[in-house]
Parts: sequence; structure tokens; C-alpha cells
Amino acid sequence: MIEFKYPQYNENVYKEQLKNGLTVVIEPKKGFQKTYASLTVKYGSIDNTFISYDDEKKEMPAGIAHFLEHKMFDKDGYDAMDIFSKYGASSNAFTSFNRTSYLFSCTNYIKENLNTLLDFVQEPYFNDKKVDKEKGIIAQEIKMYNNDPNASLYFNTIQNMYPDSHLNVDIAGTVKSIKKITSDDLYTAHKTFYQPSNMQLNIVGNVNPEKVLKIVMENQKKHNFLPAQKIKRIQPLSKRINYFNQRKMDVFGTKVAVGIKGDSELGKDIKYELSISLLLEILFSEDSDNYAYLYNNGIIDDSFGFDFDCNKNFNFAIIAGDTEYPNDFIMNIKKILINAISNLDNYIDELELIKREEIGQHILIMNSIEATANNLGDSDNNFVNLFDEVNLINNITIDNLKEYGSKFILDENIISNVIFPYSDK
Amino acid sequence: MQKYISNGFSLNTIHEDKFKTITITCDLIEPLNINDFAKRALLAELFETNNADYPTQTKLARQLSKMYGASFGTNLLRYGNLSIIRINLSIPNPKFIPGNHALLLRDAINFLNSILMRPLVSNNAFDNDTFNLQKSNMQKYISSITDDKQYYSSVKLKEYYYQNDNRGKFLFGDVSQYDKINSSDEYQYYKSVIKQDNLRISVLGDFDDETLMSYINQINISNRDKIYKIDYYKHAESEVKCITEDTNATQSNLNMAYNFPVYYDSDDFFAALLFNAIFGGSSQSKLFKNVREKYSLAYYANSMFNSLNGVMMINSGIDASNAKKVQSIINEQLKAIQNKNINVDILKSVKAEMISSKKAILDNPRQSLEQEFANSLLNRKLSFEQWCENIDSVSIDEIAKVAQKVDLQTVFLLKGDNK
Repeated sequence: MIEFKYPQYNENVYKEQLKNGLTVVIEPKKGFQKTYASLTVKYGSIDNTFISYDDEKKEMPAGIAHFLEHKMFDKDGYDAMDIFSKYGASSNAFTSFNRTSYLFSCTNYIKENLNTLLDFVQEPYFNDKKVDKEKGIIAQEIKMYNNDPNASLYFNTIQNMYPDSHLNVDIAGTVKSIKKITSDDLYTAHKTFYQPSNMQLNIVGNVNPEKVLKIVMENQKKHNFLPAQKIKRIQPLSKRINYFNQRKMDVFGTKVAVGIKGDSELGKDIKYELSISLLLEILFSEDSDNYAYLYNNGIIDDSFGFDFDCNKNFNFAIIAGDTEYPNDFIMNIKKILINAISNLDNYIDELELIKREEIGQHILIMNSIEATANNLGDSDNNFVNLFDEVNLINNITIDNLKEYGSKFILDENIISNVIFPYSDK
Repeated sequence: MQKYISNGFSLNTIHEDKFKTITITCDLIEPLNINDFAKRALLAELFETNNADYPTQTKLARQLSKMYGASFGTNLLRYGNLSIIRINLSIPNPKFIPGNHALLLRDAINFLNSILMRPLVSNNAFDNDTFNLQKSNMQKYISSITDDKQYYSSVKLKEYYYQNDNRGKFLFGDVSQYDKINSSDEYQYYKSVIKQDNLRISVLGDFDDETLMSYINQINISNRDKIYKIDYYKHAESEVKCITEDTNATQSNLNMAYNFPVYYDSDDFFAALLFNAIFGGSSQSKLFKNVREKYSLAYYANSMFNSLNGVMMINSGIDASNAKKVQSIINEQLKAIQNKNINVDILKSVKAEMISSKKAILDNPRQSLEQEFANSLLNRKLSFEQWCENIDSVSIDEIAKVAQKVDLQTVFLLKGDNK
């Protein structure tokens, strides 16, 4: 096990890669009641097209990664959740564009719960009858998301930034696409992606690192895995972009989003990620004069927010809110973005302030077992974790912001998206 | 430590060094008064926006950044018959930030004092620009709650269930209420809040009590005339009312309310907690296992038990065409529990999960403070061990018996289903 020490926070992080390829990251938290573990597979909604374990090109129905996540719990005669529950643990799972995570949190029976987690995710059991039954549940889940105008706006904006890639469909797929999923599809996806070498187990909480690692190693000996294979994903590089999109929903007021599509080559660089995050804070946080101007003129309100999502293969920012003046919203946000880099020299003090703010937010994350576990890094970013990030943030300069910002903010990469209320309102 | 600084103003401190922050909560407590709903909601917003020391939103936000990303916000909450403005503030423990910031806690308490005691006022009225903008934002917010169908349908269910009681009225008031208030009305209301509301400040983290006290003592809060307490709500039983409202949406929301006269200090309170968990309050529940897993009719179908108001509410997202079917499944599951049809192993699991989540509260500073707050409001002094014992000792018979007490009163269907 490799030990990473962070004496300024009294924290240590341990990392080990097992013989079968599984990466284990452990962070003991003294004084906490809870232990939280997440087993994450590098497989998400954008991994729809791939060369399968038996060397065939597969194009799967949209939403299969999420469908698989649901079906993993359902075993022969029981549900994995029942076992967790027996040991007082609560369990859950979620699927994103490029990851599927299974997790539990417990205050007792760590060994039993870890075994349950590894067993249920690594041992598939599907049949067509059970697969068909799940379709009704997931259809309702999809309808629930579609009913949420803010989520709709967010995902629709992403789809317009990446119309020619697998990011162009909702993570859960559509009511229509999930109807096509069969148990054979699930087995194929599981065999291809759920290899230990494509997984990472994070354990944070009241644990002894050596002891829990031993539990994991013992458990892995019981499973038979196919030899590790390189995963071949077929992900078209997005070249197109839809600059403007509008539609109507049952909403009271107009909702607007401005999207910025980043260069997919840059997402691997942690300094790029942190610089762009700080830049957006300088431009749009409540600390900024821009925010004050837009707020006091009624162009934005408390619903205003922004978000930068940075991954190995794609990165984008979304700036969104409710507004009575959609045109002014879009024009002003674009203007602020386009002028951002040339104005940066005036923002040296602001950068220091925003860095303080970010460092404080990172310290806040350290309080939470779950949030810590979700910020321990992985092989996509060389395992840079939240403790490392604080040091990196400290060292970021206005020049970094200029350099990365000018690569990020390009007129031809900015889009807008509007949801209008039905006119009879 | 629990300390009364003046009558109706208390300070509660919890020392815990496992967290890297110091978490502060300030609660302003008064009985629900429908006439003041809009004023109170606006006051919470104004607290969050600016004050005499930080007269613009930007200055206030920058002060928070200066305090190393202190997080700050206000909430409006309802506890039975009480309305609470909650001010949340947290700062990193100075130990964990570079440089010497020993006075960060002082700065945070001073900041709290600015919010509470130094509003941005001129000529006996709140600053007009600030007031008007926040008023119009609140009106927009209230009009837009229909955007969130899940939330909106739960608001409507409460409105129909509680009929004329203030507990059922939307806590942020209605749009027309706002039309009638101006910045001087709002300032008069603020003065009455500062004079009469009961106040409770809670601090959790690693700090020194005496030093904290020296900061808190600067907040000038006089003795209160009245101490406000929780009142029971007794529901007037009636025939079941079914209300359907049409909306343009991809899904329908089915919400149901049962009168369930069990309260936090009733003998069968723990049986009621378990009944709720078994019925629809956990992933082992009858509703999850049936409405979702067996019949595939919903992604979620949950029940919630409110022991301040003696009510149980169910919410679920479904296709409108299945509304009757879902209702009859819910009813069947309730009957099953009343007939003692409860699996012993599931009961054991549910108990284990409840005990585990109770323990886990101590890992979250905000939840710990919330638990302390509720206990003090309800005058409840149960130790964790006693709580676990009480949960453990509940039998199937007791659950079946308490389940007899529920009585369906209101069904609200927000009918969507555009395909």
C-alpha cells in the first residue's frame, strides 16, 4: 500500500492496486461513526458503442449503463439491498456520463458489507423476465427527470453542445430505447466493462487500512475473473454544435442556459480544471461586480448558478437561471465571457479572494465522509485528491487563468438554450 | 453546554474535534401567524442580502470569501405550530488554514451580529431598492413553485389536509400578500421579531466556550416576554376528500394524507416510527417492494410520518391511468400490516438500519445541531442507548396495533400524462 500523508489536515490516504487490477483507495477517519464505500466502474451512458469481450462491435440501446446499475441489485430470490439492510447499511447507486458507482454506508459489520458490495457488483444474474419488469420502473424514473425543467434544461444544453456524440441522450436513455434492452445485452456489457481492472473501490471512515484491505483481498480470491482485457470504446469526437435551441414547457417563467464546450484534449490537466473553475468564480460568483450588475437589473435572480464539469474526454461549463429577459441574459453572459481574458489583470485581488473561498470549500468537504470518498481521484487524473487540490489551488496565478481561459472561452464554442412557458399562461 | 443568556435567548455549544469546521446556527422562533407569512419570508431573504455593515450583496459575499469561504444562508422552516428563521453559518477551523486566523470565530459572530442587529435601514424603513427587488423575487419564486411538480403536489396536499389551520398554508405566503407590504411595514415587523422571537444560537466544533461567550455577549438581545412551545395538532376527522388537478407534464403525482394521531411523546411513538419504515419509509418497505418492485408502477412511493402534527403522508410519481391501481395496492399493504403480516427478518433489518442512521447523525454537524434543536424544542432527553432500546423492543403486534390508527383523509392527484 502506498501512503500519502497530509499532516496539515491530520489525514492519510492509502492506495493499492490488487493483482486482479482492482484499485483500492482508503482514507481512515478518526472519531467518525460511519464507514462509506463506493465501488466505481468506468462505464457510463457515453460508452454505448464498444468492442465486446468476444471481439464484436456492439451498439447498445441508450441508457443501458443505468439499466445495468438497476439490475445488478436484483439477484436470484433476493435483492442486494436486503443484505445491506440486514447489516444496518443503506445502499445506493448512480450512473453518470462515464461512471457507474455502487455504494453503502454503515456503522457496523464493515466486513459483511464490503463483501456484499463486491459480490453483488461482480457476480451478474439477469433474466429476461426481470429485465422486462424493470422497464416500467425506469420509464417512471425517466418521466420524473423529464418533468423537472431545471434538469431538462441542463441536459438539453449538453445535448446541444455535443449533438454528434453519445452525450446527446439522457443518462437513463428514453422510454423507447430502454424497451430494446435484453438480458443478453446486460451480460455483454457486464463482461466487457465490469473487469476489476476497470474498477476502483474507495473506503472512507472508521477503518484500519491494513484490515480492510485484507478483507478486500480475501474477497477477490473467491471470485473467478476472465483475464483482463483492454476496453475498446468507440466514442466519436464531437465536431458539431447547435448554437441556439428553444422549446416550451409547463413553467412559470423563462429559463436560460449558456453552455461553453471545452477542448476535449485539455480535460486531463488538473490545472486546467482548477483554473477554469476559479475563472468562472471570478466572473460569475456573488463576489463579482458582474453578478451585482445582472442581479440589480433584474436580469438574474437567486436561481442563477454555474457549473464546470471536467472529465478526461469532455469538459463544459453551464451558466443558467430564470429570467424575464432571456435576450439580455444571453447577451450579457456572452459579453462577460468574451471580454474576460483581456480584463483579467484587474482581477488579481479577486483571484486571491476566490482562492480563499475555494480552499474553505475544500476544508468543508473534508467534514463529510461521502464527499471525501467522491473526491479521492482516480487513474484519469493521476489520483489527485481533494487534499492535493488545496495545494494546487494555492499556486494558481492570473497567468494560468489567462492561458487556460483563452483556450476555453472561444466564441465558436458558446451556445444558448431557452425554455419558454406555454404562451397561454 | 446549554446556557440562557437572557429569557428566551439560549446558547447551545457542542464540542467535537473530528470536524474541520465550526458550524453555527441561529434560530428565530415564533408561532405561525398567517398574516405575517410574506413579511417573515421576506425578512429571511433580507437577512441574506445585505446589512448596514455590508450594504451590498457584493460586499457581503466578499466578506464571506475573506472568512475562508464561510458558508452562509437563511432558511424558513416550520415545526408544527412554530415558524423558524434559521441562519446557517460555518467557517473552517483556523487550525486548518494557512496563516494566523485566530480571530475567525470572532469575525463570524460579528458577522452574525450584523445580520441580526444591523439591517440596512433609512427613515424607519428597509432600504427601498433592496426591499423592492427581494419582494419581486419572492413573488416570482412563489409563482414558479408549480415548475416542480413533486414539491407543488406536496404543498397542495397539505393545504387540503389541514384545511384552515396555518400548518397547511404555504409557508412563504401568497403573491397578493406581498402586494400589500412596503419597506416600512417590513421594518416594523423586523423590530417585533428582534423584540419577541425566541432565539437560539448553537455552535458545534472545536473552540473555547469562554472565548465564544465573550463574542456572543456582544449580541444585544433583551429578555423575551413569552417562551414559545410546540402545540399538538388535532385533526377534525371527515370523509375522504379526493382532489384532482390537471397539469401539462410527463408524469402524475399521487399524494395521500392520513390522520395518524401519534405524537413524539406518545407511548406508541416508537411503534409508529417502525410502522412508517415498514409501510413506506425505507427500501425494505411494503410500498417499495410492491408499488415499485413487484408491480413496476413507480420509481418512488414513500411514506413520511410527522410526529408534531400526527399525520402520515405518501407521495409517488406514476402514470395517471394507474392511479386507482396504485391506491388499491397502497391500501392492501396497509391492511397487511394491520393484520400483522410483517416479515420478522425485514423488521430486524429495518431496526438495524434505523439505529445505524441515528448513529450516523453524529458524523454530520448540521444534522447533529438539528437533532439537538428538535430535542430542546420538544423537551426530549432520550440517550442514544435508550432510543435504540425503544426501537429494538417494538413488536409486530405493537406495529399492527398502531397501524390501526391511520385514517385516510385526503387524496391529491396532480394529473399529468402528456405522452
